[in-house]
Amino acid sequence: MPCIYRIRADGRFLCGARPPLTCSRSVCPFGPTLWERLIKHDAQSQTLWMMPEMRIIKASELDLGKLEPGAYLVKSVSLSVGGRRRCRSGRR
Amino acid sequence: MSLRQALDAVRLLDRAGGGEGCRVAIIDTGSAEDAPLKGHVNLTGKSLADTEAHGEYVHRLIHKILPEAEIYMVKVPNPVPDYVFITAMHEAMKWRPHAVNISMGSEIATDGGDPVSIYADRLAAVSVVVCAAGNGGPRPLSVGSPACSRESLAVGAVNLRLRPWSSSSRGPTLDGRFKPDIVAPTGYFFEEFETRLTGTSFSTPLATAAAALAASLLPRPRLIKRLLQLTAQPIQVSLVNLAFIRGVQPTARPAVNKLLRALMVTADPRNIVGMGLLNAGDAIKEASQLAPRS
Repeated sequence: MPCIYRIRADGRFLCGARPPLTCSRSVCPFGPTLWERLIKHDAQSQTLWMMPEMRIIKASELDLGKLEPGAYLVKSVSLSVGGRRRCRSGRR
Repeated sequence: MSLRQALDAVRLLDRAGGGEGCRVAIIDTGSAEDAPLKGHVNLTGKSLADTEAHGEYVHRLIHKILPEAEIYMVKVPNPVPDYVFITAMHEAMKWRPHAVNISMGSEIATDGGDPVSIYADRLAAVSVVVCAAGNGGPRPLSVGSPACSRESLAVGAVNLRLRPWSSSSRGPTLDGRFKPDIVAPTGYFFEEFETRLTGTSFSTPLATAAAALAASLLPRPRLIKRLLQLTAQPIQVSLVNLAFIRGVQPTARPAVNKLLRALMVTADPRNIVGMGLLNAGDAIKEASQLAPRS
């Protein structure tokens, strides 16, 4: 289960919920136990959301120096039907 | 179990009527050609008809339950990037529907701070946003956005014996909130099309129909969500038999205690079936009683 806030920038992982802090056990807003689970399977996104203004940017364009107070970063994700076990509409 | 029996289980069979005056928006992979649409927006650049055998059944189900309702469709590709999905929600909001059916989602747990969840909360000020919890169970933390949002109604699934469906996504959310909110049957047989519909995608339209009926009587979406939760019928969930801890070696007790503390959260029935099985009859009755008299 990837974390929507674990973002790779400038050769390190930062916590998108608490930028520019580095993603670590002690920084994780969800606690050390969940942190261990969240970092096991990471997947990076080409695009990021600058929140709360809801602006989408390319991950390569991220400039941590320009982040305003209260801003946070979220990975862009895709939504789909079904998921791990696809919902079925099977004919008899 | 047939669709008729599923509707009877959630007490929607005699309550549905025709659904006259109800507006329902569907965000999905397309529409059925043999069911009417009042309006549509196509975000794919292809035909409005569904090619995924998903949206067409959601459309048919809602039309079958509420034949007189005005149904609107926003067609999105599958998979859909989140920024396109936000556009879809924005388009759906323009019709000011009583309920929006979203049988799509991600399985990445969030705390409701992601853009899709935030926009779903915004949409929930206008309509009851009914989202499929997902099919990522029994893994905990498998409810993703937009079902993770604070104001949407996340619908999980129960099987034909009205017991938790094992693949129905489970909470909690990343910030510890209980999800799903309620459950509805899945795996029922849709007689007219000789099709068995499995997944939380097809339990969600039952809740959407109930939400639309209730919201057409009392147009206060957040209150309707609460009514649907509070009137749900409790479901017995068998939890882990704790008798196994007897005889545990003293050295292993810290590990067992840690495991049990985790189980207290992840095996909480509210993270499996929410407040229980949808009870449309009581929710609609309560909504009509709370509706202002003209």
